[in-house]
Amino acid sequence: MERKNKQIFWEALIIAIFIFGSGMFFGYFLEMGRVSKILEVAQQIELDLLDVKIQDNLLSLSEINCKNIGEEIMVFADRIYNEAQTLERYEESSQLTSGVIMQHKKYDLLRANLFVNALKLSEKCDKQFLTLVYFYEYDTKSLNKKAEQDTFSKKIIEFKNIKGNDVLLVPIAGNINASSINYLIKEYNITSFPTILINEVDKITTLEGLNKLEDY
Amino acid sequence: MSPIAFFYFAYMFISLYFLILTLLLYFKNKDQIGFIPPITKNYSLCILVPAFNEEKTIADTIHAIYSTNYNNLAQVIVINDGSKDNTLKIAKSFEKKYKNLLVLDKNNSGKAGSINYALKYVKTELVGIIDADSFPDKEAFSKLVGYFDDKGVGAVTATCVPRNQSTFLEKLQTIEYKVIAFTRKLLEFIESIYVAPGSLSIYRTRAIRDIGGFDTKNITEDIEATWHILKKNWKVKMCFNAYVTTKVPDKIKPWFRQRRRWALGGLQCIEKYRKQILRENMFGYFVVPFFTLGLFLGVIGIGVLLYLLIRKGISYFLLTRYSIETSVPLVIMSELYITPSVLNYFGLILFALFLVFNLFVLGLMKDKILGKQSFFNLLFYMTIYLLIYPLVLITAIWHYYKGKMVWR
Repeated sequence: MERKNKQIFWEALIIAIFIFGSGMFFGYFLEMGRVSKILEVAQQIELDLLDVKIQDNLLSLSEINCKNIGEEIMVFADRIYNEAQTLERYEESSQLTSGVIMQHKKYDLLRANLFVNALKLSEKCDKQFLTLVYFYEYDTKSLNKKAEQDTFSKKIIEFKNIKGNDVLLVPIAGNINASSINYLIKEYNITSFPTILINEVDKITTLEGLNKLEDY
Repeated sequence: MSPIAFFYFAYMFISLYFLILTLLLYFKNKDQIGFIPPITKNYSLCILVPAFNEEKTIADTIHAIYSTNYNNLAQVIVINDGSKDNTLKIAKSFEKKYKNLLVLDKNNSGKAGSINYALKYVKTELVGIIDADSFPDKEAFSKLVGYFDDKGVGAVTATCVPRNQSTFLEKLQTIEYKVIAFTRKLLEFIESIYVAPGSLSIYRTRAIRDIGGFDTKNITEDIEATWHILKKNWKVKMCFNAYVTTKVPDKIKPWFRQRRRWALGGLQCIEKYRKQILRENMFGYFVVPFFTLGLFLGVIGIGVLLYLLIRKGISYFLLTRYSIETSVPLVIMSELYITPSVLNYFGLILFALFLVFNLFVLGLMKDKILGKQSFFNLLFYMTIYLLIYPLVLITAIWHYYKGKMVWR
């Protein structure tokens, strides 16, 4: 073999490592770019958290404008629902970084807080909307459960689209090991995922039961 | 990172490595690719044509051999391997016309057995082997023999392209043969040509005798003989500008059987030479590991792909079933989005690199591949056609496991 061809295996390896490494670097930055977009949203979460705390405080006041707070809770719920959807898209395509996944927990906690505020509001004022809390298993590996949850998810989105502001939709991942969410699960006796909790009383846990939504 | 993502990255890295290796080989040796060694010695040459049921092509093959311009073609031996058609009769009819044509008739024993049988009659310094459905170009022998001036050369092969290029399947095989020919030539520069195919290869008779003839147990005797020659430290060369055309399968079933046979023969070779891995020479350090890695990646690749497809299929099935049961739309607007992952980008870039590489190779071989139809053929070749290969491999492994070492 000629001398120039003897080193070719190493040369190819070095070039391949360089190109592949650049690709990984690019990939990492691509995902980090997404993470930073999410972090922008995450900064929004901080504001959202503050917002929800103020809501909480407002609800503690003796005299509140039920209608206004109810509307604000609804707008807030819809906004964080949309933000979380964007987050999930990035999360599904994330291969190299875990930053996106971390944000998921924050949204779940935020939504749990929102649910608690909705509860307080319903204690203080007349019930203004139907509260629909959707407990699901985050990152499930079971194909059957995933298909079940997808069907549940579509059904409640369809329901929300029809009912609009008459429904407060709060999806919460039930298996993220957060104490407040675990408390809610115990409190409302959620024994399996997916479960839809309607107005803190009724529960839908099976596919057959989904049609009951139309009764509301 | 998930195990699937890790495998995907590893797969792409290995593909990228071999692509770069090929490109480096090209750029470092491009001035030598078209090299045709001058004839300094008038080597005596005997051509062997093993034939089994080749009545449709044998006449043209004999005619093509005698139409070549090599001036020391000492003998041509056609070995009728127990054909049940008119192959023997047609071959015999040429004996009067060509005085140095010898037609041997024997019971069927396979191609390797036929060659070994005929080798007893060979008295020349070089011996060429041509399939009875292959047709050497006029200057093919003249362009090949010069390589034997190097005493270490044991075999030399030519660029093989399909003779029939009209149907879609034949066109796809034309692309494949051209890409293979180009990469095979490049492998010469690292002494790693892994097959001197039966369509046209010339051997130094001493090298063939050195390996004890062709292995009758192997169903791809050309791959096995080449590996054996490499193992014995003989060099294998290729003349890129020497052409031979061959009849390729025009229907899927015979095509699949042919490829399965190649894969089966490859498996036999890996089994036979596995102990050579990382030993002695380039054969041990590159050829056998390269072949084995290709096999491994093919099987694992199709395994992962099938796993993902089956999972996806089950998911869609369940989702469709549940959606119908609950009167929920199968697709909703908010789900219609594309957020490509890094894996998607990597896959696309690698595909684009291979596409450019194939276009480059075909351009080099004077193909008007940029026509709409040809470009579609190339895309089809790179996506669907190559994807069938792992399936061929899996059936070959099954046959191997079951011990079904059949030629057809």
